[in-house]
Amino acid sequence: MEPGQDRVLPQQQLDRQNLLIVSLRIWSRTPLDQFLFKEWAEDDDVVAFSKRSGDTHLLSPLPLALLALLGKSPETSRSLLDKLTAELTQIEPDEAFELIETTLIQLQDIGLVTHSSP
Amino acid sequence: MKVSDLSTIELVGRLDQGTLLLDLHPFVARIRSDIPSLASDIAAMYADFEVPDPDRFADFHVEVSREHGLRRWIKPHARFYFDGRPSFIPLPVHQAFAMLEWGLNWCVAAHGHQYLIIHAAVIEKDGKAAILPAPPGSGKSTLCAGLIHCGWRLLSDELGLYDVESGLIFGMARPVNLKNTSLDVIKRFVPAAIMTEPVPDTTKGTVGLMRPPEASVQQRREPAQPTWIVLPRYTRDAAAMMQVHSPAQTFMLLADQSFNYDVHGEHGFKTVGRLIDQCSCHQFTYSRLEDADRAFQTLLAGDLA
Repeated sequence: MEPGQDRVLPQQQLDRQNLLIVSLRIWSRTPLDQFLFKEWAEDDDVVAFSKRSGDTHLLSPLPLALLALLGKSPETSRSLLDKLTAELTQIEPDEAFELIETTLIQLQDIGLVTHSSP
Repeated sequence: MKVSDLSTIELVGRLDQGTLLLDLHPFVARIRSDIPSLASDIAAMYADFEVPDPDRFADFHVEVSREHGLRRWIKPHARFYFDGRPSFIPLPVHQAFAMLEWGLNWCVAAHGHQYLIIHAAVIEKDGKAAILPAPPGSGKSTLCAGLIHCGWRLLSDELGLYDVESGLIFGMARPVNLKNTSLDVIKRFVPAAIMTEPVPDTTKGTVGLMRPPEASVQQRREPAQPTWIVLPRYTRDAAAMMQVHSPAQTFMLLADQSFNYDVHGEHGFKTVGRLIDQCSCHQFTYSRLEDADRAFQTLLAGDLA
């Protein structure tokens, strides 16, 4: 490469590749029979108990919406973002995508969702 | 026979021989000690508690005694023993009564798994219990100490014992543990309250214990129906505010503040869920006990402040 030309550093290339791979992950919901749930009519939050780990988790509306959508069909993060556009109008699209990704990873750590590569 | 029926010599003698039993319904504790000041504090704080026969079964065998060797004479320390085994680090001997109280709390929290044991103050009026779960520093003991002198019965300032079978909650009506500024607050609010001398330099700061009201001690075998879960939050100069709180978030706090939630596993999850279903959930912000009295009266009357 000649001096003055734009350079794409190897790490930046790697980050973009990783981002592309992550965004193409296909998320699906795991069977719910390993969990107990408790909800209240007056509350948007739900509590969940993992029979496998013994841990208890608080699920707010976004993870609940993701679980509901993934209960119908596996989705990528991008398709989930498209389906939740109306609920995420207060957030910039890039932030919303990152929020969905982060939430999916948290749900994966809990054992409620899993992903496969395309 | 009550503790108040024992003379000082009898009380010191029973402690020295390990034949003093205290009825801490639903538990019985056998206590041994070679520390005379401990006898004085037990006499003051547990005056209205029954003393079972020395031959009776005891759930917990505890001892608070002076350390051996140099520590017996130089900066004397005492240690808590459970079933004859030393437990916890030794503390200065003037903290002996506080050590006994903390040790008894540990005994119940570590062994009383027939209950869901909640780190909470519990008070009762008209058969209805308000459970005040909260981490240290939230003001629950101060709030509890104030309200039990405004017509509420003390079940506990520290350990709520939720009976998973009956859905009722018990307490032992033991002395109320206060610390730091709350000592002065309660002295001003209840000038007639009987309290131990303040003990400085503990891990919790300066602590003191307040004798429970006699009526609360006499009624301690009566459980109460959980009706409200109130999360106290002392905030300096704040106006009193009782707000409805999320049941799900209250669930998580209650689970976090329960000593044996994890021990119960799946059953613990269902138990806390049942408890939440029984109660209305609130968060209470306050800075003055006078305001708290009015707020809880309003709660009892069925309206939110």
